[in-house]
Amino acid sequence: MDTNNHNEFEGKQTTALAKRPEPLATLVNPVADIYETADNFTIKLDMPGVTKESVHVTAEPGRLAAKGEVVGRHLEGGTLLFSEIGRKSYVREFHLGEGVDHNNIQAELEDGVLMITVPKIDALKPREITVR
Amino acid sequence: MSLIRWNPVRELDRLPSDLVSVQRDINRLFDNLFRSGLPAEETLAATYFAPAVDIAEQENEYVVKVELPGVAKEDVRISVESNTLTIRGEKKQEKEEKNKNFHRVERSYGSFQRSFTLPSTVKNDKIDATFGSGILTITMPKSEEAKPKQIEVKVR
Repeated sequence: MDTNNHNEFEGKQTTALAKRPEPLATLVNPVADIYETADNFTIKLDMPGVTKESVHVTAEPGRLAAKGEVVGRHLEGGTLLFSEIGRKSYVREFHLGEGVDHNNIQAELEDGVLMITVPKIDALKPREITVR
Repeated sequence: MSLIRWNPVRELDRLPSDLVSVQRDINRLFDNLFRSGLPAEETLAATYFAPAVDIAEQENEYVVKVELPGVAKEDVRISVESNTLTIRGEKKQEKEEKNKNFHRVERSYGSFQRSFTLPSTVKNDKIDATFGSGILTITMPKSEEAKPKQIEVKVR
């Protein structure tokens, strides 16, 4: 076999590998911290690899959902020597109590952390009572 | 492929990160048991975690990805010493958060460290790292002698 043929064979093999369907992304529940202040509940979710465009937060009475897709393949081509991250997308749902205002929920994404601020309704906020 | 001396401790790195962190927790518990002085609560408060890592070999380089959501760029240190790549740092909890009324704490805070042995042939001075969307990407170009070469074997 001469070298040229060998190269051609190698080229075809690479194409065949590239066309192999990608493994399905694993659905993971991102870890969350939840804390409460006088006016809000704040939820922080670790979602490394998502972008503002690939993350979706939906709220309805009683239910809050956060979904995110990791954008781009984690590692382009090559041989994976060690894999703990792999391909994944995130989804997590929370139950909303009656004391929150689901119409004014805000979310921001920074350094792979999604921060969702859920405001309390006025009835639930602590009030300073004037002493007469 | 070069020969690498087998190091049983290194095998621990190949375990799933959950197992490694459980092992670290157990080690810490034992450390605390036999340590006098500091109250156990305080020593346990300083936690360690191991971020998830992917490593890929490409034709001309090795690419390492590390999941570090919420970690500041300034708090990450990458070093290469005698072919050992070490990623260490600290994930700090925001100061004003510490006094909040927490309902749930699942995210990890504290120090982290991962070490990997590199194939001996990497251009140490050309290692590049970027940080975006909570993922640290380290690119390590292979040195010339490590790139795949075709060797013709003549059959007589």
